[in-house]
Amino acid sequence: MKIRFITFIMVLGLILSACATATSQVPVTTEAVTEVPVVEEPTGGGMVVLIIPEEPTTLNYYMSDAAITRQVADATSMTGLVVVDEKGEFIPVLAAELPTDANGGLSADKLTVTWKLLPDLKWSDGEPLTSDDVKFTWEALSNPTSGALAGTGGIELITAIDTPDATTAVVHYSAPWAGYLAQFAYGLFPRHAAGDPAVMSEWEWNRQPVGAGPFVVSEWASGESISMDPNPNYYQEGKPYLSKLVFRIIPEPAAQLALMKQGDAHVQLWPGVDDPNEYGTYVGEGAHEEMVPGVWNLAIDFNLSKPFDGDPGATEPHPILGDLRVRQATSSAIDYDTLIQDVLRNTVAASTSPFAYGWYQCDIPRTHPYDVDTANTLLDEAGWKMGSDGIRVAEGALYAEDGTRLSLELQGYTNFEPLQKTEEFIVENLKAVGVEAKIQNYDFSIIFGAYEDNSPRMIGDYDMLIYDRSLSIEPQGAVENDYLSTQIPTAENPTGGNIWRWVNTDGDAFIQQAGSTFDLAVRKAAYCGLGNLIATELPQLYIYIYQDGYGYANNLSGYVVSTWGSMVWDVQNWKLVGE
Amino acid sequence: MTNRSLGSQILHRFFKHRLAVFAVVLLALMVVLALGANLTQYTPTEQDPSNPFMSPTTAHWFGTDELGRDIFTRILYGSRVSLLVGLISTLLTISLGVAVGAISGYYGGWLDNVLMRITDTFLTFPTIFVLIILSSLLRELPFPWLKNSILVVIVIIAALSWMWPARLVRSLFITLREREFVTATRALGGSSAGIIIRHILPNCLGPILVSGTLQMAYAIITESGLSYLGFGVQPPTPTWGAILSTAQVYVFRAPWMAIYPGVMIFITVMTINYIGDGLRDAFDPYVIHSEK
Repeated sequence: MKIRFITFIMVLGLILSACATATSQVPVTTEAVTEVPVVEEPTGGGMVVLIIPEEPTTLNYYMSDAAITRQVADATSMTGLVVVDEKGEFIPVLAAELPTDANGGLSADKLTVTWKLLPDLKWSDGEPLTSDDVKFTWEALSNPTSGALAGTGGIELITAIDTPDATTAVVHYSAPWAGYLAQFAYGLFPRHAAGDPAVMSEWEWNRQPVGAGPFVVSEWASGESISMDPNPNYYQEGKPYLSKLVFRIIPEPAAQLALMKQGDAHVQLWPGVDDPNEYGTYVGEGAHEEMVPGVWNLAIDFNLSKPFDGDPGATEPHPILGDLRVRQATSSAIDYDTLIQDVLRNTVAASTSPFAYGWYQCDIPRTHPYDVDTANTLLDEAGWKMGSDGIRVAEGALYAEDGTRLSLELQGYTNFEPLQKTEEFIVENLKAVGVEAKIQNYDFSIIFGAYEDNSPRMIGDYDMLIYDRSLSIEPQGAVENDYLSTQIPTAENPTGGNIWRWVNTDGDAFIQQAGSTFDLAVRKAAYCGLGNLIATELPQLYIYIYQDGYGYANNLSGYVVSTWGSMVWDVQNWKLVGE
Repeated sequence: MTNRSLGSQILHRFFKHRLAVFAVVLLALMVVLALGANLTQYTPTEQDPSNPFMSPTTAHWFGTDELGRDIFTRILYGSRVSLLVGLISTLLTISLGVAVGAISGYYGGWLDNVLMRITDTFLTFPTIFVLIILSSLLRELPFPWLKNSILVVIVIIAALSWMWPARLVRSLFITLREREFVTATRALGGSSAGIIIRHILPNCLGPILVSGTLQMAYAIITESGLSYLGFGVQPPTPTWGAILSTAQVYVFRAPWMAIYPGVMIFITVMTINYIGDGLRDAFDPYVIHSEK
């Protein structure tokens, strides 16, 4: 009887903990909720606790394409010459002014850009920050073995950087680079404290950076928190106002909300509550949620090349998706309105191309809107006849052998509820027209792995991928990397981004045109031309844009929520009311 | 009494344990419900996005989930995978654990050392990294169906959990092998295998069964965790663990999404516990001998 009672208690405990965590792969919730960092409240300012759902692997933005990196790094290591403000405009930060035609910063032939730095700048360790550090940043990023993969657009066009004095950096380009203002927007490396550019991934600096940002990393407890103290050498006198910043790594949404409710945290990144009006019901009256139009644009990527043939290139078409009519039918099968209005409750906005926001925003109609009849007709015409089990079978299809089932794998990443809901909805939509889509979700690290890691998207071993991507205010570098026909990832070009393996000379021409001029109107027209081509040829099917949500404690002030910045892009201005 | 065979004695004692019999009936009922899941008026993936998070009604006995799917139907379908994974992986875990623990504890010496160091090695594996590596390896293999096979899930769960029953059984064997009845059997010429299976093991059944019932709940929850890493059952196919896992985001808005799968896991585990209890009483050597 005694054993039976003990068993009962143990089983009950197990079930209750299961209800709270629902998976054994993640840290235990109760610890996350009750374990508040014991840090003495500093005087002269307040301590702000920010909740992040995952841990950044590095604070070196250039080494990572994970969105979480900037959300932490912007507070410390990634302060550059300029920043993009909430209006989408460049404003100088470490630069004294923006180099333009008018002030002589941009030469008439557009091949020379002269950056003037603010006087008496210092790194967080007290060493002077000079134009030589700008030069070193270029040297580091252009090193072929550095492994830098983000924010490097235009770097290869720089032929030299002259440093006539400590505050002047003269950048020479081999060809005009329309994105020159963003060239050093993502942060600088200190020559004296960074390391050998050839082994950038091994720098200690990546986790303990000497930076020019408002805060300095004081402690990094892996899996738990990253703490920061104010940078005593910050260039803005009297700032930052806060005296401590603690990023707590809490993967579980319920635990995050509990911390906000208890008042133990002040900022929650991406709360995952799809309706801001409901946020208060979860966290009480001490906090609220703010949403801004985001930049994360969700699309289905179609692999146009044959998968699992050992060839990452685009030599052979995909047996099913190589036929444009199948891609068009997929587009026609999806009930976009119900998805956006009912499933995601209008917390996302429809999108049809990568150019969906910013100065390059294009109004592109959906070429194949929801129409089940059209989808069925297209598939019939493409030689896919309805099978006895409701899934179509090839009978005279363009590339597939007769008898092939119209069955495709839909890959996404795990642990993101809105994405999973979208996947499940689309699978039902496709089933209705006789297309079997099988969800195969992978951990973030597998989906976004590198070519060398045999990531399916990089080596071309997938059918359809579904995830969100973004463009920055200066998109040229990313557009070139993702859409040029020459950028299909292969062993020779492992960082190429044309993962849908789309070869299109018209597209290439639009991209070249957008990169050859500084005239924004011409550039926008070129991007819209490319956007229209993508919407017609459907290497990707754009579906919607997320809004970015942040939870804020009501006693925090001074912040400005920005589409273009991370949550801490203006952390030097934050204050705690009553401190 | 003496005319009765050992088998009928065991059966008789089991049927005297009313809770155990009740548990068998309940488990049988759950299996019947799982097999008859397609008799409900909904399908497990049928969506009604305009009616999400409906609380329980006569139309939807357990309410609806975030996509307006009928939770009752999903739980019935989910029980197919969850019961299968729970029962078979537990059997596998316990069998492997008992075998290793019994040999290690009975023979001792170098064999014990080797087996326990292997056990320790398995215990030191960081589960999450092992799973990520396995996920990558399975993806690379020329058998793509393998990564979504329930068999793989069962084997992985067993491979990562047999160590606990192994250590438990080893410690029990170390104590029991020194007892008089073992020495007596050995003196009478009993073989080692006979001593292990017929004499020591029946005395360990209680703790083993308790360990097994806990393992069962662990397996059901772990199954849903594995799908996070790209193994096993993928959405929208329902499993109890997956339903529970999704429900955590909506636990304040729609608590029934978490309660029903939680209750089903609870009932299953209790059922197994009582059946185990009944089996332990039925196999208890003291009781059997006292009845002779």
